[in-house]
Amino acid sequence: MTLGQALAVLGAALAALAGVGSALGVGVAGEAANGVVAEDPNKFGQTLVLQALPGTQGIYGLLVAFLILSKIGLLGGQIADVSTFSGLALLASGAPVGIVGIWSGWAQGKAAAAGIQLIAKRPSELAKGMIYAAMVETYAVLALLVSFLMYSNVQL
Amino acid sequence: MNKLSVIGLEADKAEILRRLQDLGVVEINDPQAKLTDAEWAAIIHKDSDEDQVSALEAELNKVEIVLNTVAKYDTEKKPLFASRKPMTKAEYAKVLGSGDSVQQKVNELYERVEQWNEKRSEENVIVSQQASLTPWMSYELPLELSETREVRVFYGVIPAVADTEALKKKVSEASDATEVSVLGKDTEQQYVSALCMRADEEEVLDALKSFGFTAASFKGMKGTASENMEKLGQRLTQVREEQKALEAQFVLAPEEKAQIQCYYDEQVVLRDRAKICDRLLATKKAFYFDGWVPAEKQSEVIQTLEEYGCWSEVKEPEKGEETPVLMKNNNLIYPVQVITELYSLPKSYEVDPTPIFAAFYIVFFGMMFADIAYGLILAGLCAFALWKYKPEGLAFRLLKTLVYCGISTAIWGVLFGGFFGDMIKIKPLWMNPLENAMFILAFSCILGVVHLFIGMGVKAYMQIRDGHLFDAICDVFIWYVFIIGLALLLFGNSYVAPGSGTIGKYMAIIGAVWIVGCEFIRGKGIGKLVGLWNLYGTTSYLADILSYSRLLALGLASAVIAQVFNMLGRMLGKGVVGVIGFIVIAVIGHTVNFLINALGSFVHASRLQYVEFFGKFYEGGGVPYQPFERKTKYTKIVKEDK
Repeated sequence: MTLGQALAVLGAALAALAGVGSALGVGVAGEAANGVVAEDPNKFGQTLVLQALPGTQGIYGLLVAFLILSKIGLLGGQIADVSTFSGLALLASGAPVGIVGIWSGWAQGKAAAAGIQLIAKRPSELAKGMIYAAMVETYAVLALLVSFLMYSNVQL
Repeated sequence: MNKLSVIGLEADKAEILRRLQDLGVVEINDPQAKLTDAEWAAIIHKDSDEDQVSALEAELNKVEIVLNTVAKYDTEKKPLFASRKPMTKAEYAKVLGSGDSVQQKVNELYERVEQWNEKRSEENVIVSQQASLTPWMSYELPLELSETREVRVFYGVIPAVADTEALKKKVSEASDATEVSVLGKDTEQQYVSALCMRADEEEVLDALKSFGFTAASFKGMKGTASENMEKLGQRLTQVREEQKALEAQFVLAPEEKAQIQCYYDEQVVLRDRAKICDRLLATKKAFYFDGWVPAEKQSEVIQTLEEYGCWSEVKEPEKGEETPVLMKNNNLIYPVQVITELYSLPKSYEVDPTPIFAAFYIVFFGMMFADIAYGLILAGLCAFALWKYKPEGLAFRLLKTLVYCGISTAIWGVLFGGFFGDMIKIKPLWMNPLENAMFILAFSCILGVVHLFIGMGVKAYMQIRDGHLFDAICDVFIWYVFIIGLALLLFGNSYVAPGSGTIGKYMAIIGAVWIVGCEFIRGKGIGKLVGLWNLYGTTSYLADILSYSRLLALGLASAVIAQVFNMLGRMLGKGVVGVIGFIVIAVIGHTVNFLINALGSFVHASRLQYVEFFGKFYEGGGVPYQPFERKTKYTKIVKEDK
């Protein structure tokens, strides 16, 4: 394996770190959801929707990691020739979604947890709680976009 | 929405209220303001029917307990959405009968519920008695025996840590003729009994107490522990059987249940009718109320009121007066109202945004989800739920909106070429966003600009309607010029037409000058300089437009993740194992992807309306129209088929 290939693999690893944010976020939201469902088990569905929201960062990370790995042909087939600078560029393209994902997933989890508190008191306001949490996700979406544009324009 | 005032005779009140409730179109106002007005307060008093309300509340409470209990033992499958059963008036009256027999049935069942509760608490008592008796099973003397002519009997507990040998020794030191036995031990205490001569009672008790002895007692129990245990066991079986017997009576035939549900609805209707009296003002012989009625329903209401010889008056609301809000949209757009409702109703003088953004909402959702199979599944599932459960209200509107969104998703799937990602390779009708990301990004932003411009257009419309043409030019139209100019300046020469960059430059300059300049005309004092600050607002437009890039990003996310799962499935190779593995991975993976991205598309399509679009013009905060109607839970009255 060349240095370029190793750097590209590192980039995929970095992208997948977005899952750290999602794990933290889904965890925080899940704690809040348990508390609310203890009072009213009927709110399971509603709280689950909010808990799922911070899960997307991890998926965006997985997506970019997968794209990078398949671009260099690590997933089955012939591993491609990757120059050191192309490898470095692919490493860079994994960075936005990975790094932004960690914090946005965590922060979104906190917003979702607060949303769960909101529906404990006002079940009809689920949509508003969801929107507040989704505001945070915007930045993960933007990071995904940047990662994708970098990835798709890197020539091996 | 028009303002209705009515005066009628007290004698006809009950009948008039019943008719109005059946019509269900009049919202009756709270008369608090009139009561504090001296002129009104001199001649009227607040009507109310509190006794009737509380009697009906109590009855409702009873029926509710009965229905809840019955539901627990109901074997019928519960539907996903509660829907009210449609009935004609005649059917409803027939099921309900005079109401007496149902009431009797409810009372009977309520009594059974109470009996069941008693049995339940008796069961609890027995179980806890059994638990406390268990350690004493090896104690052979009757529990009530505390002394004979010569001998004193003690039994009780000492802490688990106490040294029983030392205890025995100390007791025998206190008196010669003693017998101490340890019956058992658990994590907290040890169970001991002691016999001694009555003459030495005090010394022995002191010795015991020095080891932390506490006497136990079983009040009301006669005979040994094991005898009592047996008795309790028998009683327990009996109590449980009695519960079973009662539970059997909670299983109702469907007709009986329907009858009780009708009875519940009837009580709710009567309660509401008694409660609405709170909002009436009364003299000795007459009553008065005012409220709101939608213009197209008012003739029906007036006709009814005239049958009873009421005086009534309908007025249009005064300018700027807040009225309750009832959104009116045609059948096609009506469901999408749910998106507006989830945000906030429009104020009565505002434009209802639903028909303006409905198409955008559906297009945005489809673009972010974009897959033929996902779209067909979403539309199919929601259409099935609509057909099967016939939900009403919010659930109906939400499901119908999702049907639209599903169809849109399938159409975008055709355009972008996706069927469960790339499970079946389909040539995109338009283009593959994975290969033309920059183009679709630009397309998303242009779509965003159109969306935002329409939102700003609504603001201009409202300003012009209210006679503020100049404000509309400064706040909206000049921004059109400025933003289009900037876009042409930046991209015109390379993407639109050579030379259009120059036109863009002049448009941007004119726009910027006007934006700064117009505040010198309409601003006052330091406000004249606000224009410079407004120019800085360009950044917020930039942020708004770039926000639409999520249309591309989320579209990519749902497509690529679907492809990832397909690829994982294919990795297992060919052959039987490969095929089974592929199916398992595909089913789980696509289910997860479907759920996450359907949720994401719903939330982000909403966000683009709420934050970007509504931010341009919409205020919200209207008070929903709440007519006095039959707010029933189980049944709804429909007109008879003719």
